[in-house]
Amino acid sequence: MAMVWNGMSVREKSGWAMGALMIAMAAWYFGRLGAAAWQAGGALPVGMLIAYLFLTIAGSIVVQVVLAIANRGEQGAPADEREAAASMQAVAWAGHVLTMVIVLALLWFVGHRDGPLLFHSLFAGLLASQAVVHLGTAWLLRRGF
Amino acid sequence: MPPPPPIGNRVRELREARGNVSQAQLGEAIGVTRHTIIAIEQGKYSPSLESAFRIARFFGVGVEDVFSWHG
Repeated sequence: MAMVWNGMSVREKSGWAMGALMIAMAAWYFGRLGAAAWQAGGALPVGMLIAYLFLTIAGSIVVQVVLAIANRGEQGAPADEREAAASMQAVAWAGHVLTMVIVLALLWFVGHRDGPLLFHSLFAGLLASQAVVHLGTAWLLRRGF
Repeated sequence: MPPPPPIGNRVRELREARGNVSQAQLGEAIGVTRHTIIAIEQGKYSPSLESAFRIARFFGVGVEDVFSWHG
Protein backbone atom coordinates (compact mmCIF):
# COMPACT_ATOMS: atom_id res chain seq x y z
CA MET A 1 0.00 0.00 0.00
CA ALA A 2 2.81 2.39 0.94
CA MET A 3 4.61 1.45 -2.28
CA VAL A 4 1.55 2.32 -4.34
CA TRP A 5 1.18 5.65 -2.52
CA ASN A 6 4.86 6.50 -2.99
CA GLY A 7 4.62 5.73 -6.71
CA MET A 8 1.83 8.24 -7.24
CA SER A 9 2.31 11.73 -8.62
CA VAL A 10 1.48 14.54 -6.25
CA ARG A 11 -1.61 15.36 -8.32
CA GLU A 12 -2.91 11.81 -7.94
CA LYS A 13 -2.20 11.83 -4.21
CA SER A 14 -4.00 15.16 -3.96
CA GLY A 15 -6.97 13.72 -5.85
CA TRP A 16 -7.36 10.73 -3.53
CA ALA A 17 -6.76 12.79 -0.39
CA MET A 18 -9.10 15.63 -1.34
CA GLY A 19 -11.75 13.19 -2.54
CA ALA A 20 -11.58 11.33 0.76
CA LEU A 21 -11.81 14.65 2.61
CA MET A 22 -14.87 15.70 0.58
CA ILE A 23 -16.63 12.39 1.28
CA ALA A 24 -15.70 12.48 4.97
CA MET A 25 -16.95 16.06 5.32
CA ALA A 26 -20.17 15.29 3.45
CA ALA A 27 -20.75 12.26 5.68
CA TRP A 28 -20.10 14.45 8.74
CA TYR A 29 -22.42 17.22 7.56
CA PHE A 30 -25.35 15.05 6.55
CA GLY A 31 -24.69 12.66 9.44
CA ARG A 32 -25.01 15.54 11.90
CA LEU A 33 -28.16 16.79 10.23
CA GLY A 34 -29.55 13.26 10.11
CA ALA A 35 -33.06 12.69 8.95
CA ALA A 36 -33.91 16.34 9.61
CA ALA A 37 -32.17 17.31 6.40
CA TRP A 38 -34.61 15.29 4.32
CA GLN A 39 -37.84 16.11 6.16
CA ALA A 40 -40.29 18.60 4.75
CA GLY A 41 -40.20 22.10 6.15
CA GLY A 42 -36.97 21.80 8.12
CA ALA A 43 -35.01 24.97 8.89
CA LEU A 44 -31.71 25.65 7.18
CA PRO A 45 -28.77 24.79 9.48
CA VAL A 46 -26.74 27.95 8.99
CA GLY A 47 -24.37 27.16 11.86
CA MET A 48 -23.67 23.70 10.46
CA LEU A 49 -23.01 25.17 7.05
CA ILE A 50 -20.47 27.62 8.44
CA ALA A 51 -18.82 24.80 10.42
CA TYR A 52 -18.75 22.64 7.31
CA LEU A 53 -17.11 25.36 5.24
CA PHE A 54 -14.57 26.17 7.94
CA LEU A 55 -13.61 22.53 8.50
CA THR A 56 -13.43 21.76 4.78
CA ILE A 57 -11.18 24.76 4.07
CA ALA A 58 -8.99 23.94 7.08
CA GLY A 59 -8.82 20.28 6.05
CA SER A 60 -7.89 21.22 2.47
CA ILE A 61 -5.09 23.46 3.69
CA VAL A 62 -3.75 20.68 5.93
CA VAL A 63 -3.88 18.16 3.06
CA GLN A 64 -2.07 20.49 0.66
CA VAL A 65 0.58 21.49 3.21
CA VAL A 66 1.28 17.84 4.10
CA LEU A 67 1.54 16.94 0.40
CA ALA A 68 3.80 19.91 -0.26
CA ILE A 69 6.16 18.90 2.57
CA ALA A 70 6.17 15.25 1.50
CA ASN A 71 6.66 16.03 -2.21
CA ARG A 72 9.04 18.96 -2.33
CA GLY A 73 9.73 20.20 -5.83
CA GLU A 74 6.71 18.48 -7.35
CA GLN A 75 3.93 20.37 -5.58
CA GLY A 76 2.95 23.58 -7.34
CA ALA A 77 4.28 22.52 -10.73
CA PRO A 78 1.79 23.14 -13.53
CA ALA A 79 -0.24 20.15 -14.71
CA ASP A 80 1.22 18.42 -17.74
CA GLU A 81 -0.90 17.26 -20.69
CA ARG A 82 -1.91 13.93 -19.11
CA GLU A 83 -2.85 15.50 -15.78
CA ALA A 84 -4.76 18.31 -17.49
CA ALA A 85 -6.65 15.82 -19.68
CA ALA A 86 -7.56 13.67 -16.66
CA SER A 87 -8.74 16.73 -14.77
CA MET A 88 -10.85 17.94 -17.69
CA GLN A 89 -12.52 14.53 -18.02
CA ALA A 90 -13.26 14.43 -14.29
CA VAL A 91 -14.72 17.95 -14.42
CA ALA A 92 -16.97 16.83 -17.28
CA TRP A 93 -18.20 13.87 -15.19
CA ALA A 94 -18.79 16.20 -12.24
CA GLY A 95 -20.84 18.44 -14.51
CA HIS A 96 -23.06 15.50 -15.43
CA VAL A 97 -23.51 14.58 -11.77
CA LEU A 98 -24.37 18.15 -10.81
CA THR A 99 -26.77 18.55 -13.73
CA MET A 100 -28.57 15.32 -12.85
CA VAL A 101 -28.94 16.31 -9.19
CA ILE A 102 -30.16 19.81 -10.09
CA VAL A 103 -32.78 18.49 -12.51
CA LEU A 104 -34.03 15.87 -10.03
CA ALA A 105 -34.07 18.40 -7.16
CA LEU A 106 -36.00 20.95 -9.23
CA LEU A 107 -38.50 18.33 -10.38
CA TRP A 108 -39.00 17.30 -6.76
CA PHE A 109 -39.41 20.95 -5.77
CA VAL A 110 -42.09 21.49 -8.43
CA GLY A 111 -44.10 18.67 -6.90
CA HIS A 112 -43.51 19.34 -3.19
CA ARG A 113 -42.58 23.04 -2.86
CA ASP A 114 -40.04 22.29 -0.15
CA GLY A 115 -37.35 24.96 -0.23
CA PRO A 116 -35.08 23.56 2.51
CA LEU A 117 -35.10 20.14 0.87
CA LEU A 118 -34.22 21.78 -2.44
CA PHE A 119 -31.34 23.53 -0.68
CA HIS A 120 -30.04 20.30 0.88
CA SER A 121 -30.34 18.44 -2.40
CA LEU A 122 -28.42 21.09 -4.33
CA PHE A 123 -25.79 21.26 -1.59
CA ALA A 124 -25.42 17.47 -1.70
CA GLY A 125 -25.05 17.72 -5.47
CA LEU A 126 -22.27 20.27 -5.09
CA LEU A 127 -20.44 18.08 -2.59
CA ALA A 128 -20.84 15.04 -4.83
CA SER A 129 -19.57 16.89 -7.89
CA GLN A 130 -16.51 18.10 -5.96
CA ALA A 131 -15.76 14.56 -4.84
CA VAL A 132 -16.13 13.35 -8.44
CA VAL A 133 -13.64 15.98 -9.66
CA HIS A 134 -10.97 14.88 -7.18
CA LEU A 135 -11.57 11.12 -7.20
CA GLY A 136 -12.19 11.03 -10.96
CA THR A 137 -8.88 12.76 -11.67
CA ALA A 138 -7.00 10.41 -9.36
CA TRP A 139 -8.74 7.34 -10.79
CA LEU A 140 -7.97 8.30 -14.38
CA LEU A 141 -4.33 8.95 -13.54
CA ARG A 142 -4.11 5.54 -11.84
CA ARG A 143 -6.01 3.55 -14.46
CA GLY A 144 -4.72 5.30 -17.58
CA PHE A 145 -6.80 6.57 -20.43
CA MET B 1 -10.80 -1.33 -17.61
CA PRO B 2 -10.93 -0.06 -21.21
CA PRO B 3 -8.71 -1.84 -23.71
CA PRO B 4 -5.33 -0.14 -24.01
CA PRO B 5 -4.92 2.06 -27.09
CA PRO B 6 -3.47 0.08 -30.03
CA ILE B 7 -0.28 2.11 -29.94
CA GLY B 8 3.03 0.56 -28.98
CA ASN B 9 6.21 2.44 -28.18
CA ARG B 10 9.92 1.90 -27.70
CA VAL B 11 10.47 4.71 -25.22
CA ARG B 12 11.93 2.49 -22.53
CA GLU B 13 14.17 0.70 -25.03
CA LEU B 14 15.43 4.01 -26.44
CA ARG B 15 16.04 5.39 -22.95
CA GLU B 16 18.12 2.40 -22.03
CA ALA B 17 19.99 2.49 -25.35
CA ARG B 18 20.91 6.12 -24.69
CA GLY B 19 22.87 5.37 -21.56
CA ASN B 20 19.93 4.89 -19.26
CA VAL B 21 18.37 8.31 -19.55
CA SER B 22 16.05 8.49 -16.56
CA GLN B 23 12.31 8.90 -16.86
CA ALA B 24 12.62 12.18 -14.98
CA GLN B 25 15.27 13.49 -17.40
CA LEU B 26 13.18 12.56 -20.42
CA GLY B 27 10.07 14.06 -18.84
CA GLU B 28 11.87 17.30 -18.08
CA ALA B 29 13.25 17.46 -21.62
CA ILE B 30 9.85 17.16 -23.26
CA GLY B 31 7.80 19.04 -20.66
CA VAL B 32 5.87 16.32 -18.86
CA THR B 33 6.20 14.66 -15.47
CA ARG B 34 8.12 11.48 -14.74
CA HIS B 35 4.77 9.82 -14.05
CA THR B 36 3.55 10.62 -17.54
CA ILE B 37 6.66 9.00 -19.04
CA ILE B 38 5.94 5.93 -16.88
CA ALA B 39 2.32 5.89 -18.12
CA ILE B 40 3.49 6.16 -21.74
CA GLU B 41 5.96 3.30 -21.31
CA GLN B 42 3.30 1.14 -19.69
CA GLY B 43 0.87 1.88 -22.54
CA LYS B 44 -1.56 3.57 -20.13
CA TYR B 45 -1.42 6.90 -21.93
CA SER B 46 -0.97 7.93 -25.54
CA PRO B 47 0.91 11.24 -25.67
CA SER B 48 -0.19 14.20 -27.73
CA LEU B 49 1.26 14.55 -31.21
CA GLU B 50 3.46 17.37 -29.95
CA SER B 51 4.90 15.24 -27.15
CA ALA B 52 5.36 12.31 -29.53
CA PHE B 53 7.47 14.54 -31.79
CA ARG B 54 9.39 15.92 -28.81
CA ILE B 55 10.20 12.40 -27.62
CA ALA B 56 11.33 11.38 -31.12
CA ARG B 57 13.48 14.52 -31.47
CA PHE B 58 14.99 13.91 -28.04
CA PHE B 59 16.24 10.51 -29.23
CA GLY B 60 17.12 11.82 -32.68
CA VAL B 61 14.81 9.43 -34.50
CA GLY B 62 11.54 9.65 -36.39
CA VAL B 63 8.15 9.40 -34.69
CA GLU B 64 7.51 6.03 -36.34
CA ASP B 65 10.74 4.74 -34.84
CA VAL B 66 9.29 5.42 -31.40
CA PHE B 67 5.57 4.76 -31.83
CA SER B 68 3.82 2.06 -33.81
CA TRP B 69 0.19 1.24 -34.57
CA HIS B 70 -0.99 -2.21 -33.57
CA GLY B 71 -4.62 -1.90 -34.70
